[in-house]
Amino acid sequence: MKRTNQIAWTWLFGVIFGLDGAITYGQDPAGSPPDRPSVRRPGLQRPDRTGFQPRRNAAGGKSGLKVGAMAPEFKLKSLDGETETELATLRSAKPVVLFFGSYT
Amino acid sequence: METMYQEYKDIVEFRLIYIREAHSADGERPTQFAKDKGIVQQQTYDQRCTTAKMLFDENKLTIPGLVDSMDNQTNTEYFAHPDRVFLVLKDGTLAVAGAKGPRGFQPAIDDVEKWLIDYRKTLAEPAPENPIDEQPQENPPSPDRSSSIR
Repeated sequence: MKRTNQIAWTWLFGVIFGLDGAITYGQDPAGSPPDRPSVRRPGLQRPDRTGFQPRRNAAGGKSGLKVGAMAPEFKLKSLDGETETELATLRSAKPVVLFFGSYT
Repeated sequence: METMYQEYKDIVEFRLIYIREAHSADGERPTQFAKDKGIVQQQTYDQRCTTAKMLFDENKLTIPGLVDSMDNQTNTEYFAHPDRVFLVLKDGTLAVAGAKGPRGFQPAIDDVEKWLIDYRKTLAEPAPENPIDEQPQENPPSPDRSSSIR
């Protein structure tokens, strides 16, 4: 009889805590796997600490420019922060290869 | 990149545009390199120029450099972050538009090199008799990615 009571209590606790766990994870007690939390793709879709958040540009959507599209014009300064260079001026004489990058 | 510049700088313009740091020490995904060097996201244009110079000096780059503005306008327009390669023709259209990031960088370099090889051949050819055809061919057939820059 003592053994039977022990089994009954164990079963009862199992049901109670099983239900509790199921409620916590928002699923039925039948044991289907919990939904994985949605994984947000890092980086480009949200601003970082400095507030930088790339937006869709006018020409190419979020994936950027394609072959045959017009290259966006720019006017940028050289490393000394003084001399300005325009893409339109560069490409009027020769084709232009552009590398974009940073130190890290 | 530097090797390509030295080889083709007489027939094509090259510019390396320094944009905001991709993996700065204070960013979301810092690299050990950035931590060791203490490279953080710049808050002023002078700081950006200083880091850009560091990049050029320490890598002994002689390719002409430009620095993106603090509003990241060119970076955004080209969707260049974290790194990217383009080839712009004289009419302003893109002959090569590499994919973003390290995965897209080397294939784009290979595409650009293939284009440059073909372009140099067209420049070396004697001028045709018909003046209408004097323009060098700027858009050779789409190159494959089997060639290597190294």
